[in-house]
Amino acid sequence: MSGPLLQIDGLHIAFGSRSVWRDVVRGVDLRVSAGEVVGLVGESGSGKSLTALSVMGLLPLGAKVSSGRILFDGTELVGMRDGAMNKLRGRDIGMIFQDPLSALNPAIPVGKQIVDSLRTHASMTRRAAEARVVELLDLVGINQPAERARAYAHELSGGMRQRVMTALAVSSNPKLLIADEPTTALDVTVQAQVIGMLDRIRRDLGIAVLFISHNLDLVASICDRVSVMYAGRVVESGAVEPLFDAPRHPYTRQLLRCVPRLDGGTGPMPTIPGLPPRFGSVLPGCAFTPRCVVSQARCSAQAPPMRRESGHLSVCWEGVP
Amino acid sequence: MASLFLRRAGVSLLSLLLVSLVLFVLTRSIPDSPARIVLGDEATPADIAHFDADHGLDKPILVQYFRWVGGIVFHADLGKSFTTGLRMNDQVANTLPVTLELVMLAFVVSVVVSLALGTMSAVLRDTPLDYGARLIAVLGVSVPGFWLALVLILFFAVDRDWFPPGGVVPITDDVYEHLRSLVLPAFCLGIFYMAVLTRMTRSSLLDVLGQDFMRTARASGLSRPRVLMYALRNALVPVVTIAGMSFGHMFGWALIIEQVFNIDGLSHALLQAIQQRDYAMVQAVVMVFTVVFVVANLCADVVNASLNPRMAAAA
Repeated sequence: MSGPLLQIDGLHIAFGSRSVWRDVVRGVDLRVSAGEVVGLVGESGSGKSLTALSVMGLLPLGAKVSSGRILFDGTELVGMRDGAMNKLRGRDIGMIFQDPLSALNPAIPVGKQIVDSLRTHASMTRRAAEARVVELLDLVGINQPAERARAYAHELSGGMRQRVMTALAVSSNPKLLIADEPTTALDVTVQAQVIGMLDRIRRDLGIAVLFISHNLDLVASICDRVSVMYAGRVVESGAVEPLFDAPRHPYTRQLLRCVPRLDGGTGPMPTIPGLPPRFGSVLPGCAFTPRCVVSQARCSAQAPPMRRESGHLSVCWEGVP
Repeated sequence: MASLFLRRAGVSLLSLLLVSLVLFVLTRSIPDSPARIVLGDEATPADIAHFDADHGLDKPILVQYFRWVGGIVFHADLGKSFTTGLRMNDQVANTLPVTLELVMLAFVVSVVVSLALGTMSAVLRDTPLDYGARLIAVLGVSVPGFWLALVLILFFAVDRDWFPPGGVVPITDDVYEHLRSLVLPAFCLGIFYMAVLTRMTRSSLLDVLGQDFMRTARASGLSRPRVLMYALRNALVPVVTIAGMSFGHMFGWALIIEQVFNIDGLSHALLQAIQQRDYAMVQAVVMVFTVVFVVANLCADVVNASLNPRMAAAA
């Protein structure tokens, strides 16, 4: 196969109705190669989840891809008919959502939900699908999988629900798994277990992962590469280690300073003062200018240049003569 | 599931008992003894005492109540009319079937139509079909059934000879004519509930379609019909509750419909009993209505528990 598994070029997503459309995702480029784990980091409202949903073709009502391309395995997904898109969903691309309780159907046993997905994508008997579900639940580390398959979502613990969600997402051996803040709704103690499970599964099955999170530690621990988003744009991206060791964009630097550390000493938690720009507001220059500690006069007036050094990309005026 | 049923059944029995007590006390506290009504103004006190003794009316009210309830529970006997001397069981057996059939017909048709219409309305939201369905629903809720009945009689029975203007042909005479004579009354009875349930289905389904788990269903690549089934399982819960209550309500509305269409049903019998101050008959009919209402709600609870396991756990 040539080229990355998932390639997003200049993606714009707009919200609106009839005549007034405003871009909230404004030119995102993203690549995920087969078997790779790519992190997508940013504050709430930075457009990470929308970017992920647009790959699934499941943007909420009132949102649409206004321009750009999304290539999956060389196939253009933007503008694809829903019927064709439905063949990819769940089979080639799986997705895990933030809150597993609301993301699982409360009226249908969890095993049945996986059975239905399996049988949608492959012709298999009910019995074969049920046997496969037990295997899958075992794979994601659920004890007594045959029994749990008959349980309803509300009868399971938070961690177990997210394991079920994972089993559902990977049931048909997808090439790409999109995990949209899979641990945000979980207890801290359970988070590590679920992340460990996710990492094991994707290694075992050779699945590429687009991992969306605002937890930088998590991203550092499991991702190969990471893209940092701010106000609908990718402001910095690169391999995890160089990016976290020597962040180039001031936003990334300030974000990393906000991660609580055990050896961080006392005193107030560092924060980034100010708020992200208002939804849909149009700025000529860099959107981070009002909150940036190293901003210059040109920052708010002119769009910052994109600079790439050995695969590490940053979009900032800093250090530009 | 079984324990839920038992608990609900227990509650139902309790409410039946309460209703029977209230009903009995209320009908007995109406001024004017039945003896005065039956024997007329010229009756002597001795006549009245004799009448009261004959019918057990001289006993304390609680004793009378337990006799009545005991008769129902142990002998399935609803009692006897003071005014006509007719046995209530025969009266109910004669009049209940036609009312039950009318209500059943109206109920089944309105539930089926409202599910189809409401689902279509929600799935094709903001399309002309949705507007059409909503218009029908608004009309159905706002048009009074008795007025509609008169208009339909005028239009379909008087001006055109499509349906009979009133009465019900016995099913033993002619099945086709029997059903034909039920069309207009069932339509007038059902249209309001059809409209209510349509609106309920639509709004409940729209609500569910916006839930996170519907996005998961779509992200799993499920086909559209399957996604809809996933949604309906959750969306039907309030619809079933309302449908259960509607079934009971319909017996009340049948009162008016039977009057307009001149049908000799249970509701008709109730009206007559009220006019003739036949308290025993009123009690018997209201008790039958109550049983129907309670059983319908019990059924709705059971259906809901099987639709949504959380209901079974919470109940």
